[in-house]
Amino acid sequence: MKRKVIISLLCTISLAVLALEACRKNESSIAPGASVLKFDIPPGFPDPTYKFENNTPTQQGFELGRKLFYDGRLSQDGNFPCSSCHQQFAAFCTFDHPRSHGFNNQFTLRNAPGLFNIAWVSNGLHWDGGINNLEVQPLAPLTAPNEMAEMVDNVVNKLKADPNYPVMFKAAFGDETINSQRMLKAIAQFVGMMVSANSKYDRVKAGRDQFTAEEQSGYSVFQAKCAVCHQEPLFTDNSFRNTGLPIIEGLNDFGRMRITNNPQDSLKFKVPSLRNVNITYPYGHDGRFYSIGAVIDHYRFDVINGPTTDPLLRNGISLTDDDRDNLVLFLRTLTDSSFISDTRFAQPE
Amino acid sequence: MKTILRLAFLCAVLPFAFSCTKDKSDESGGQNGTAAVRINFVNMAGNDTLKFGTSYQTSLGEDITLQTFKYYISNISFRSASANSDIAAPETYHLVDQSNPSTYSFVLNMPAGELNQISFLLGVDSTKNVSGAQTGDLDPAKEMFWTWNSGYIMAKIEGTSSFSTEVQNAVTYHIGGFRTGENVTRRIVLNLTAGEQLNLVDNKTANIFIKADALKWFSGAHDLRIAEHPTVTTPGTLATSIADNYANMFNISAVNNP
Repeated sequence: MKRKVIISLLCTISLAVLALEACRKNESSIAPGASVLKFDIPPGFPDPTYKFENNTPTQQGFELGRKLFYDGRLSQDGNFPCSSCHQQFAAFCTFDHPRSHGFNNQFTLRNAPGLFNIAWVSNGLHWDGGINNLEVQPLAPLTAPNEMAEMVDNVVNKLKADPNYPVMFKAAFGDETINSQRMLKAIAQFVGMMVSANSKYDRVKAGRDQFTAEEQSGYSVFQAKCAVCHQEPLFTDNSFRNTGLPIIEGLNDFGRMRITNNPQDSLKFKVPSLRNVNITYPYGHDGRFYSIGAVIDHYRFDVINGPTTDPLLRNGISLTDDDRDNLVLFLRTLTDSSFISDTRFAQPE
Repeated sequence: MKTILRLAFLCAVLPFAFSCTKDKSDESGGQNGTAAVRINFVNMAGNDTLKFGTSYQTSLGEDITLQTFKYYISNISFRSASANSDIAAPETYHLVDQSNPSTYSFVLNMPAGELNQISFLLGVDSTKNVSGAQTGDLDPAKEMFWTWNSGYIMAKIEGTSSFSTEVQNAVTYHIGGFRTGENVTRRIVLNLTAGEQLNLVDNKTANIFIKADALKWFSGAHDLRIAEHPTVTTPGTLATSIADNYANMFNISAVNNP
């Protein structure tokens, strides 16, 4: 009897291993000569949620992803690469635009968020959490009629027609096959490697810098009044919340409910990270706030109590004017100037 | 001792059953010392072989003319008549697309033996829906992937009906959703009665023909009138109702043993 158990156990294990082995062949593999990139987890950060083990970043894959990120051919008319809405100097948000511009003089529905620490996003990407895996995110803007307005097939064909891409796909994945899976995995490598963890805040935490008295005071206010949702060190808890904003007529954006069909999710949006907040204005899911102070004043004075308004915000957030000003000064310490000037993420030559 | 031998045999054989064969690359099936079965889908509109551009009538008396009919088949398994146990087929995600006859059939390598049941998932399991960029039949270029609410469209009908209130009388059913409460994948179980069992023999390919009746989408578990619902393109109650209907669209029409 014991032997039977052992045999079936062995059988199950060997099965599992073999099944895994077999499946791995179907994944886009790493090219033999490719150099593996190490993904460094900053001190205090949790393990990333993106499964890099299924898409090992390599220098070649990263460079391919970078070229794709800056390539207008991913859009129908060539004018809208990923980088048209995600600008490095603004921590990869669209600077100074409530909503971004897309194909044929159209606006996007929402404010383009900055791109950094994406590898740690959980609970879905996008303001409504509709995207369940980093790798498939680019498909949303790529196919949206008011964004890049393209079709996956067309993009793949455009890449195949370029003399450089087959070489780069081979360098990254082992042969010249160009398909959407490889394209998406390369972009995921590039975007996944965007880590922002070198702000003044981080240096203070590491004992290499000091807050001013005002910043320190702002940090205390932050910890007391903001940190439940904007949880350190990522400055988001990845939840969806209704922050009591009025609906903008014409946009009629009900947020998370579009994904879940659940009325309890009406007007809920993902809590954005506050890292780099000073350079990612305007703010809010539709970019309606033009300054950090205006956002804070919304929480102080203007929260609308509806059925789904977050319990933590029902009475607003009570802050003095000094609290607000110090909070703004603290939030400015979250700007990571080395990230926005990191040449690895810049437009390739 | 006999049981142990049987288990040991399973150990030797099962891994092959689980190995990930590439869809459509297995045309040599049945020639490498294994047996094989070709699964053939025959798309129907009631009793007629489905043709695009031809007007058919649903059982609710509404006309429908199709121009798209696609569905995913995955997680296939068979029941061994002798062992009375399920044998999983090699991992397959296959898109049957009425506009492309090469998608109507595919071959699976299987151990030899008598099989008295085939079962499969209509749709793509939840795991594959959240596992990132895929290729082959799961390539988003197949236009069966929702980009704004990540997940596969498990089955799709597009066409026209004079009962549709939409622009140009369009009928658009993009049926997707894999989360609890919204799941539109359906486990299809088709029994092969005595005399119609699959008999797989080494080095040979058997054939099984499965009819898929598009008109079943509109009635059965739920009566769904085109006049009331010309468009279903989000997960939810309507989509699961259609799924309850299409769960009954398959039946076995023939088995050809080698």
